[in-house]
Amino acid sequence: MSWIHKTAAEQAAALAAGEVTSVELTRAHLDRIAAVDGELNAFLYVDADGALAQAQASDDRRAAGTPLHELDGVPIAVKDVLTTTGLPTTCGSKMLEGWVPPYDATVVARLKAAGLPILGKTNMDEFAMGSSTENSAYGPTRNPWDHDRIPGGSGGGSAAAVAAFEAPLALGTDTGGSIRQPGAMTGTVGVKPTYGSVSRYGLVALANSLDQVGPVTRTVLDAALLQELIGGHDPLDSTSVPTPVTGLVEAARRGAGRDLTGVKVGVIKELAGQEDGQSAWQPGVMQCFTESVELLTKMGAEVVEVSCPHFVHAMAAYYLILPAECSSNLAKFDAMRYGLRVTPAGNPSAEDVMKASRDAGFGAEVKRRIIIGTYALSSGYYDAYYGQAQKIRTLIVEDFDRAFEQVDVLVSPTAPSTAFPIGEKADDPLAMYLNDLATIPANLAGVPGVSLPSGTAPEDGLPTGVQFLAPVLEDARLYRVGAALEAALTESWGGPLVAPAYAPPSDAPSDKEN
Amino acid sequence: MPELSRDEVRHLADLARIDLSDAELDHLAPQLNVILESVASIQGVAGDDVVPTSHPIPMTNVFREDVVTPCLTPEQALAGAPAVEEQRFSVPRILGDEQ
Amino acid sequence: MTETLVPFDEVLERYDPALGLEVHVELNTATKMFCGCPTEFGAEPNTQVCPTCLGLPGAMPAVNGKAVEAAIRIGLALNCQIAEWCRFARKNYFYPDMPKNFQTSQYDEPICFDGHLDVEVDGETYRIGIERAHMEEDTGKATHVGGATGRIHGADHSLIDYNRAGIPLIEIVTKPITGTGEKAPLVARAYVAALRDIVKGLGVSDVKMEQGSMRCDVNLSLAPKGSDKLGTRTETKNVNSLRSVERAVRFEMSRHAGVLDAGGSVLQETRHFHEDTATTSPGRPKSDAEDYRYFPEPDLVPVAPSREWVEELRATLPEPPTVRRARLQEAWGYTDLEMRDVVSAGAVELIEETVAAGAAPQAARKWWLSEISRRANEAGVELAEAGVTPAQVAEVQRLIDEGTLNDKLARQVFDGLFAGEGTPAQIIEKRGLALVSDDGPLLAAIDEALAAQPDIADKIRGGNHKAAGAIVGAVMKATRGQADAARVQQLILEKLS
Repeated sequence: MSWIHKTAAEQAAALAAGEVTSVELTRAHLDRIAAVDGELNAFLYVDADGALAQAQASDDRRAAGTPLHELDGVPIAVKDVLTTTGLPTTCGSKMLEGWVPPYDATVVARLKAAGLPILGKTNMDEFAMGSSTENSAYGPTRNPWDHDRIPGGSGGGSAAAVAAFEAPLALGTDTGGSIRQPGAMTGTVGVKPTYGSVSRYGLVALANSLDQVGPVTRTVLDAALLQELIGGHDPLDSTSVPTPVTGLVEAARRGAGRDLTGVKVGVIKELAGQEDGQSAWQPGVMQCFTESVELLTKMGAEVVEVSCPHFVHAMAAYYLILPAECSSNLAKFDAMRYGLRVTPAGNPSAEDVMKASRDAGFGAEVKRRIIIGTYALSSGYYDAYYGQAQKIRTLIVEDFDRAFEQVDVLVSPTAPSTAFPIGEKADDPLAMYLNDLATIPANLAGVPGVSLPSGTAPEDGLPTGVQFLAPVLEDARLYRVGAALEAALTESWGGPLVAPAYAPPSDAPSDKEN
Repeated sequence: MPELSRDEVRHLADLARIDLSDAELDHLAPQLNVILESVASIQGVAGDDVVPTSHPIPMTNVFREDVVTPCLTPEQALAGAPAVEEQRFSVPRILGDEQ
Repeated sequence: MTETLVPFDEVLERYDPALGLEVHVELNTATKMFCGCPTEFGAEPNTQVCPTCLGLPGAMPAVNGKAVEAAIRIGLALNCQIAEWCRFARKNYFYPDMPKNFQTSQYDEPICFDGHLDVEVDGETYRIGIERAHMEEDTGKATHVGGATGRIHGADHSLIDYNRAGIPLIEIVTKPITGTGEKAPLVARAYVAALRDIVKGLGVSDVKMEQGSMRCDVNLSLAPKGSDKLGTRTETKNVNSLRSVERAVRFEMSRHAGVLDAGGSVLQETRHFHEDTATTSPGRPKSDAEDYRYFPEPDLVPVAPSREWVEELRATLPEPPTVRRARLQEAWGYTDLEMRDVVSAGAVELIEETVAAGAAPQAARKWWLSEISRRANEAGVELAEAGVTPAQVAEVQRLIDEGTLNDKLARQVFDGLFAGEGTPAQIIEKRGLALVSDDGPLLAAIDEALAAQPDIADKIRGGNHKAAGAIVGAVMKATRGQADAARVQQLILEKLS
């Protein structure tokens, strides 16, 4: 089996053991990108020279016996919504085509400080608005499981890159499910950490009170390694929590022992496919979910049903808070200081240029949300919309509080369906929004959530995801339960879930070891 | 729930400085109304006694020391600018007054 | 557009003015409101900027604790309540000098609210209600290129320097000020002066109106006399001297009255004040972009000053101006009238420093309120900016006291000081202004004058001492005023008796 098919933890161990160099690992991933990304379009920018230079520096450190971190030398991909000094950062928008930030996002600075070579920037829905990556101004990313289908979104690029073995690790951002839902669509692992536990400085904000940076990986352990690396307090982000979230790697290792005795798991009634108006749940998704819950019970967990009655209002609250915040955040894109400038004919004023540039630079979904947000914040409507949505948020926080009095973690399917065909929902905003039904409540309340593969739906053979949610700052619980389920499922499948077209050649059923 | 008219959408787009074409208006206005209709369900859900949540993790008094940190160089600051003159951002003529 | 202006006295026959003053004070913190960029005035363009104050994608604000402290101290000095809990809010509007196209400000939760400030005009005290004082950030500075005079209208394009963007501002807003009648312009001026003194006393701002570190917007409306409803107001922006505050109120009162007399209605709008003509002209109409779509700034957490902190800050406040004035008046032995003149001239601090530098209080008052006031008025600047320091005034007075100068020569020394010719001693040296203290040259000049006017000499010898005045005059002329007249008189009488 080639190096790219190994997990990040395995790659790190091989580096430590001197079995491989970072340059070799990095080159292998760059070769993979060159081979498959023309079709997948997971990357918007590949920094081959930069990544190899960083890899060489990593090898030098390792040779000198001074690696910076356990993951020093393991390459990574970064969602294009995070600023990177010297690398273009477009947020998937024409508005920022060619913009090269003069500063690193805090999480990017932490990657560099730990010595991870940055392979490039991954594709996404424009300004992270979407659930399919079709809203990218640079073309959609294709799902490695089926090139005619979406990889989820907004972080479809990071998820597809990891699923197709173009990178062992990637950074994503999750505002309403943009890490977790693509994880479900591509059969990968995605974690949205506790709000404020990973710095947002340098994350081009979609909705500041919902956004969170997190790991996109193939295994729960790799996610734990990456979250521990990027997390921690940052004075540049005033919403950064002072308490560090720790013990994640330890929790993942413990969970792999598959003993969940004493753990109480709550199945969220409102997100368990009941027929109370939510007919969006695909049977295969529910079937995989049920099997996962059964495995939890087998490992000793006590599973009960809990009700979070206000979750039914989460979508509506989310689609008021998010547009409101983003309408203000995106005002800065006005063609004055950076970004696209379109100058209409005649003797246009600054205002004319702003309007023409914003019309040309933003895609349809961005315009829709800006206008909704502008409306929701308008005097006369503020209380009815934004104000009311913030109150719903309180009710959802209270739902979580009550639920976590009864159970340690909550569980639900990550997304109501498997990956849908590209183009199917592109111009039907409401149908698109339903994809985030199960992931949105966590963002509204700031609680952490993980999505991991729960199998493939019998009707279409596409991956499905299961989501765990834990109380604020209790991210470690996700890793323990997630790793346990991952281990049990992997065993039941006879190996990890891999997109068939991208599986390692040696992964044939008859020849498991290389 | 008030339905957004074409004119209202145009006004909102003006407020948001987006120069929507007639075709875009025709396309967007009905979609916006569908979205608004769907989010309108939250009205009346939370009573007056519910305190709004603006931050998921409640914190207060996060302050920075009044200590100078390094600035960008003017070259870095102006690197992305569509037009530069005399080490300043050059922008088209400004209508109206300073606020 | 032609405007009918109603003479000021006539305005008051038919209308009652209502004032509202919004003052922006730029804090003198080392760094900006939300980032660590320095705040120095006059730096090269775009050298004091970072991702945050330049509004680059991804950057985030972090509140300057020192600015919060300054805001609370200003609020306490203005007798305000300090919020137990408040937030920053985004004020959304597009303008090229504003990097994010929203200003991070405060909306319905100001940090300070419900205070008052007493000001005195012509012996009467007016209590000005303070609605609120809140924290916000400044914008960048646009230079307009092409067109006539660097003005915005007719300009071809504009150049923007964001050094000023993000500098902390405290906006202090009064409640409507009514019942001031003919004193409205003076009350407005006195309020701004008093506010300036308070903020200066706190040491949180340079409060230099001419540099823009203190800026005033004047709201004015007229209501028919006796009516208890407020009329439509106009907001005159950036009125940047005490004198201009007074003149802007005066002009708008006359202009509003003209509009109302003609049966028209005042347009609610922003207006600009022109220093040169003391008039205002219309700016942006208030209709369009006034929907600021305020909402709580999601990148910042609430500010919740503990009561302990507030009391600690209260203990750092300097003596309140009214108490201080009473103390100084007693110490200086001024009459009520003298003290009132000193206060309205804005000379309290200047005299205090002059006295501290060694001058007698009456002498200090005399120089600041006569000679220096006259010159400041001529130049159209504030007393403190007239070009003379308290130390220099004290030095001039010391030279008078020791007999080196008389009042007439002292005025010439001031000429030199205003012209920037150096210290008083250097000016005396350069201009040759010292009094002749040696009797020798005086006696020679007296002999010469007596010889020239023998009839006068005879009169004096005959006991007519008044006649000596003519000889004194001649001697003064001969010494170009540099003689001590009393000494000359004495010498003449000694000689002829």
